[in-house]
Amino acid sequence: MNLSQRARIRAGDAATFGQLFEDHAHEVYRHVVRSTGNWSAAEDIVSLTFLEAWRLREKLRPEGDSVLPWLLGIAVNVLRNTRRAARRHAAALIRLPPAEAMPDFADEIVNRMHDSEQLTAAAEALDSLRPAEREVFTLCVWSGLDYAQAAEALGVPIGTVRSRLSRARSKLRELTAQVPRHQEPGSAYGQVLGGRTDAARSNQERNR
Amino acid sequence: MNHSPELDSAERAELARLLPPPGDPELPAGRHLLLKDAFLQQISEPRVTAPRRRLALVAAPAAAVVLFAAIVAVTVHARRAQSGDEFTTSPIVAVAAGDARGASPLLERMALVVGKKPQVPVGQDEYVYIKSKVAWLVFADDDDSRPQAAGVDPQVLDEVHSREIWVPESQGDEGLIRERGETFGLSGAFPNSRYADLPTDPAVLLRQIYADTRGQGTSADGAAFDFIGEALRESLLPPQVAAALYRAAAKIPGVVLVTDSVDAAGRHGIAVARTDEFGERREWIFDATTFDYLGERSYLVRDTATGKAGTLTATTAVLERGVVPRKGDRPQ
Repeated sequence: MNLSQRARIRAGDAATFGQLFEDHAHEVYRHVVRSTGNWSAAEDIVSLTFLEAWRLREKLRPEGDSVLPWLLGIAVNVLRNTRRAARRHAAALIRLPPAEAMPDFADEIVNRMHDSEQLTAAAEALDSLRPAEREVFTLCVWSGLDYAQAAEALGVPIGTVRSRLSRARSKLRELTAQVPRHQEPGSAYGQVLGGRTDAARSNQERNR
Repeated sequence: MNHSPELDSAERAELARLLPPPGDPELPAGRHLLLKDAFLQQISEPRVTAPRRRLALVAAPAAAVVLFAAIVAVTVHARRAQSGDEFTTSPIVAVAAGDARGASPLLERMALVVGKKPQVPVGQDEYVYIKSKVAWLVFADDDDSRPQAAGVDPQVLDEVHSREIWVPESQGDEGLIRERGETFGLSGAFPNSRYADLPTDPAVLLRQIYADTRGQGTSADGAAFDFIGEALRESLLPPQVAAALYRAAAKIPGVVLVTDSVDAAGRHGIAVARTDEFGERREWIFDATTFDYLGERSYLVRDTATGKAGTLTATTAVLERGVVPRKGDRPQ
């Protein structure tokens, strides 16, 4: 089934790309927002990622499992050079529906501000890593790819992924040792990944 | 653990704890749907244009230009025969279909671009200087030498002429207008700060505009649109205010994108437009690549008591904007 999905992607079947967007847009979006700490640009980067996937569809390997690593790899490339991707798809971008100027509900604003603070803190910490380490960290730790998938996404050997992640770990450990009280105890560090729930906001948005 | 062939969940969790949690950003369902639609529309468009079709696309505008020129020539001739050279004509322009779905994305792009521009500071006792070319409807003639339909004010488009204005930054200061070699004082006019001090939050701004224009014009939406048109016309705005005005305009019902328009200086651009209840469309024209404000154009989109469809009712072009310390001065 996965094989045939890949075949249909390579053949440029629009319905398959619709399903691809349906299945993976939220993961791409989450990866982009977390990597950049920026809400406002993320929607454009998601659009650019799928437009690039369409353009590069014939380069997808015919065999393999989930295509998510491939998509995230494209997202990483778009993030590396957003400007070039934006130029390539300028005509498409200008016709995109604009990002909403303001959330409608007050509690939504509060939620967003809370998210923004967290994102900013995480993005600042990420900045201490080199770009290559940062990419491996966000893909493996936050987006849940394994070594092989991250290697596929980034187009590097598995050993490279492993060593970059190892370097990222050492650097971050060093940093957290240096500034142990960077945050209030228990407020951020040590919290389980994805432990915060925002079901209220999500439902509200789904119901629109 | 460092050497495990797979990244297990315990190791992943341990790595995650090294950073603040990245939150759980979610693409709202409505946005997901919109972006998906836009993406699918983009990839399902025909990518190859047959030579025959391409030829037709070129030929159609060319034909329109020829037709346009012919109509202008005829009306100019007719008008001249009646009233001499004092007034030019009310030219007929081609009425393009407005794109209702295109206006909002364009305005958002414009807001993003203008928001990154540097702010030009304007001192409290300084003046904003704008030089433009303008033509608006004027009464054709005061004398009764020609038969006129009762109750109908015969209006024609003035000839395009130069206009300079010095708008005071602060309330209470008098400004200056120079048009056709004559200079007038501008007292009681709105100061530049009326627009420059507008809120930068689009939702707040739009509410304020509707509140401030309540009862004006013949529709609330039309009055709000015209307010923004005025704010953009002869002013010098902080980029954040301009961006908010674009985003507010995107939310006004009836606002459309017109893909090609032309200002009083002959410069082509894209336009944001709205048609009022009387069939008059007002366009704000912007450079298609830089999104710089070029000017305005107004015309009838259908036959009305004022004139035939396409009758031009206003055309302007802003040629220069600047700040000067005294009215009457020109920027260096």
